[in-house]
Amino acid sequence: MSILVEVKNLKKYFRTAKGYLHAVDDVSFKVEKGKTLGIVGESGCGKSTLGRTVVHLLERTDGKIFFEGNDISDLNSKQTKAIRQDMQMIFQDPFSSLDPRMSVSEIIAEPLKIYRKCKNKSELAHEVSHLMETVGLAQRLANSYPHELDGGRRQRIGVARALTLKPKLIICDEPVSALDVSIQAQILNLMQDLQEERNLTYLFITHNLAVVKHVSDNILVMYMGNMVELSSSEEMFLNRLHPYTKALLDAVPIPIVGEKKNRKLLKGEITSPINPKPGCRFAVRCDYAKDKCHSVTPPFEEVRPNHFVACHYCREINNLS
Amino acid sequence: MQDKNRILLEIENLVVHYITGKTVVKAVNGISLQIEKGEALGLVGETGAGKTTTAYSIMQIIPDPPGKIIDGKILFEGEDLNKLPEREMKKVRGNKISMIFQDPMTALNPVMEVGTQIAEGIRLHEHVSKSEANIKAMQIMEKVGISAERFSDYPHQFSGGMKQRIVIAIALACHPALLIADEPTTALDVTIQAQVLSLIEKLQKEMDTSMLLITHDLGVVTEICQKAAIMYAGEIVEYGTLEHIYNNTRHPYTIGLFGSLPNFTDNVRRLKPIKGMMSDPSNLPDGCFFAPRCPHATEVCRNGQIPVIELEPGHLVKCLKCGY
Amino acid sequence: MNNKNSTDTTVAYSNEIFGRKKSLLKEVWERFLKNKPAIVCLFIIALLIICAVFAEQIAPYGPDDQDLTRKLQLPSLKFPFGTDEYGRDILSRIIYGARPSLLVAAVSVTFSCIAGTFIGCVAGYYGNIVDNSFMRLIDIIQAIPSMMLAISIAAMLGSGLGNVMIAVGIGTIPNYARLVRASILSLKEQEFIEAARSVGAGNIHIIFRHILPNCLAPIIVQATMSIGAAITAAAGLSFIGLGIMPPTPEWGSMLSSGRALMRRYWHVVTFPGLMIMMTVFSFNILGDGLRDAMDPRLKK
Repeated sequence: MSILVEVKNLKKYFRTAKGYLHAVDDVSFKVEKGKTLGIVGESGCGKSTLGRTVVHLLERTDGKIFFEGNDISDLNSKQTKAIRQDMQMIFQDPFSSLDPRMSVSEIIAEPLKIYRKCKNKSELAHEVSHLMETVGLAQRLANSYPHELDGGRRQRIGVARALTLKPKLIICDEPVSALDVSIQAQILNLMQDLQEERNLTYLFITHNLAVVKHVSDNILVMYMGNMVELSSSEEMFLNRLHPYTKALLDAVPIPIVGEKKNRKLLKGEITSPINPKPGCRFAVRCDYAKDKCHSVTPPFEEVRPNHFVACHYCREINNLS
Repeated sequence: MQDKNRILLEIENLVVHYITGKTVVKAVNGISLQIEKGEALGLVGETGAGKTTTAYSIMQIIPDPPGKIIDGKILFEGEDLNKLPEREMKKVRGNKISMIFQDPMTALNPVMEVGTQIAEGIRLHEHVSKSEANIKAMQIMEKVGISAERFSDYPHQFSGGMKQRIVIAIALACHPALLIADEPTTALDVTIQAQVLSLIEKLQKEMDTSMLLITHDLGVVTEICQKAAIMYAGEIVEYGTLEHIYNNTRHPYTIGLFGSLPNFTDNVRRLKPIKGMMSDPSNLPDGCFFAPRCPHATEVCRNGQIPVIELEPGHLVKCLKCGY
Repeated sequence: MNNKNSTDTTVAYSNEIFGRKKSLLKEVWERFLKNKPAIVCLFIIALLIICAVFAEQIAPYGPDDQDLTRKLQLPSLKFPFGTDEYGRDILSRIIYGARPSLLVAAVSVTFSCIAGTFIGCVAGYYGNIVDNSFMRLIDIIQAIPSMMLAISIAAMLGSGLGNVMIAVGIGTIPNYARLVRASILSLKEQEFIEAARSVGAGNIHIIFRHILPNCLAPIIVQATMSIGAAITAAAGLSFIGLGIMPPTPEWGSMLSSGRALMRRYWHVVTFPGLMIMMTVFSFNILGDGLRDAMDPRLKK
């Protein structure tokens, strides 16, 4: 039951012409080794930024990041390079995340070359070949180029590349969103198998609620940079507490006939959190919002066992004690 | 049995190929379907299935070269669109048959006011004055949930969901009999998708417009459609009402599609994906196109002609192993 | 995000089925071979290079073989291009003339390309102050018409082959700088750069291994096109008396000295002029062909 990665009050702001964009605002969570935390939300919620900040692809503005108990919030370039071996990323777009001028084997070999993991060429070739086999890529594709392959195969290359340095943590940024349904299923199964075999920890970022339920042990729902709800996957779907989570889960079209939805449509649009005022950022769209919601930022607190929500009137809305 | 008068669109054995040099990509291989007045049909399939080509064929906007409608009839209100001269077809497009494309970001002219873009279609087809067209445009803007005051705003001033509403307004401005929607909500966020789907459903019922909804999302189909057709490698492999397709799924591909979906209700440990990938449309196998991936395929499936069987009234399946 | 097109899948499957391992170079070459005009131009340029290198062996006479008794003769079997005002065989002078022209073109374009790429690369990659300062420098160079710039530099440095190369080269640095900078700005945002960073790549590795190879194509095309311009510029400098001085045979200076005799002795200017035209034309068509062969690959 060891905690692999922990994030405390993490903030990432971007400077724009109109002011500061609070892409990630005060996010805290812990992920146990071997488990998957699903991070879910719509555009502008900050989930991708959060993922990139954790792996130091973006520099945090404030807050702390812990890995295996060590504080890795501030690292110089040498330390960053060292920690990269433990934290890798799988990207969303299986086309633009691969260098079009490199062949499959070159793409997979690159991390090994940078870290000088292999003593000679034959060892390198062997390692690449083994990785290709692990992710289900035929050996004859070693000299093919990304543009010659379909989305599913390209994404397998991305997965293989993420595995080369034998990381402990993998951030998956919408890894199956750009794929057809049947290919999605193949990749999800692959990732599940790898997790079991190698005791990998995943941070799974997606907007697809069915996928996140399937892969995650715990789910974090984000809205406009803030954490809105955090609990185990099962608990979230059984007892969704935050008004946004309710609307989000209600909105998903389910492939079952006869279940006519009586959903309450969320009014308004999703906006960007630039120079946000204090108060709940969801208040303008929320049916339950009262005055306090517009002026006081709701604290993120435990409302049920291991179930955290950021809402002033959560207990009243859900008839809890 | 269907009343012949109620049938708005009937496609019979449509075959469409793309020919580049020596390669022939067989995009659509003999599909047939029917849409009644006021009815919505969901055309479901993955990339390369031929759904968009089907839509483009109905609109007669297949790029030629390299595309060609080789065979088949597309009967709209009794007339075969394949045989209609271009100048007659122009009167149909945007007027009797409208299309909504997937990406709202690129479907609108960035340097033209949105109201004008809506009014443009009205003026083209209904021969009314500019001011009358503008009034009609404002009416339809209100109908899709955009304030008429925003007539003179430009596309970049709207969010993705609102842009899609404008696209819908343009498509419905002339009260078409048939609306073709090609993945209309795929590029939108989930909560916005719900808003737009609800809007489409409302308008479709109000205006009694028939709809051909193209999507890869089996969930979206249940929200709006009454019938569904599952496409694979240019063929319709299963066809019927929602009840047939969802509760009495028969074709192995359709079963595979449902098995690939992570869903809300069951706690499935591992998904059951379909093995392999769709065949190359320029090099389709003999016999059943799905046979290479089908867990039930036998020699007979790989060589013979695959018939279309009616399992129950209105439920059609193209398979040798399903009929009993 | 399901807007893929089916021909994409088609290519993928064909290659899978036939197991072909095509390298990009082979693809580009095969595509290039389909362009007949470009192949012809490639031959012409090859011939010119042979002339430049083996001038001593090919030319029937020396470039400086004066013989006033046979001056200003019209083209004949003995002197296919005729003779000039000093009785020198024009054909031989044209063959020898290929050398300075091609040399200036090659060296100035290489110098320009390397300097421009370096500037554009650093400016595009590091951005902010570095970008601003370098680009203002580029603006200054571009603000001056290139011919004037070349003339001023040539006048300042004096005549001679080396100085001409610098003079001609400086004017085209901005072209490469802007090209490379634009490529880098767009490439920087691509996910594969981020991916490279995530597997531990440093800035230098990213620039040389990922960014430059991906902007190589436009650079090569630009370079091929610039050769034509460089030749014209060098000829122009010689024409007005700067740059390469007689008696070194150079097409531009041949044009210049023949100016006064044009009316009666057309051959003295026509052949050098034709050579300049044909060379520039060939390089331009070659450049077009290269761009067409490389572009569709890059677009994907």
